Amino acid sequence: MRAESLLSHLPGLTADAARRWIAASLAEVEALRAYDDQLYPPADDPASLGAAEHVRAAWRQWADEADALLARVAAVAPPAGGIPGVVDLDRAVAGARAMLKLSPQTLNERRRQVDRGDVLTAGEARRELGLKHRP
Amino acid sequence: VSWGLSIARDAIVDLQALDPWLQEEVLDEVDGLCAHPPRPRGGLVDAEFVHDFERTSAGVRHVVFIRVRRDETTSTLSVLSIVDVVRPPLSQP
Repeated sequence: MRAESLLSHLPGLTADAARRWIAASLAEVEALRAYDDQLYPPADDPASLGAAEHVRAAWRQWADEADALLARVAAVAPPAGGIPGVVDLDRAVAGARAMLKLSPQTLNERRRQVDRGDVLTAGEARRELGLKHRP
Repeated sequence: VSWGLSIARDAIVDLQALDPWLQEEVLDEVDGLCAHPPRPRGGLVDAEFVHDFERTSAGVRHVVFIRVRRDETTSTLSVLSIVDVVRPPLSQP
């Protein structure tokens, strides 16, 4: 997406232009989601992890650009009813940030914990957290 | 019939990173998932899904993502990770 490199050199942003850039960014999300099954390969083999890292890098770049776009859109006087897609784009950025915080290696270790029964019940979790027990 | 719940040992670290009020919110959300587990995609017996929810407290907007494994054979949901993403206030309605 070229929004940030272009918009940083132009004065102002209209609501209509913002709507179009948001739609373009959401379209990119759909394209990236086609590779979701490669984000967390079940095995820690180098080839799969290498592919996952490429997909993660693409998501990282997209999220940075989308966040910059959202910041610019925040300064736009919205038409009645707002600018379509802002909420969806914000949630997509949040989802990408969450995904990027969880590495394939970390997830695989947790999958193995579940496989071997190294888990806590809700009650045990509450005790560890110091929360009130609920029946 | 509600499904069983387990939490991967290391996922407790994710919960510990949250404020207590948000820990409660996460556990409430997970309880809700156990009561009404989402259907698996693609007919997989052992599938993972991500559940998200949003809460705002003291002007801070949290979007929380819970990654869950659904085990049809044991009717159990296993929490694999919990990630809290703090987002700026939305400027649009």
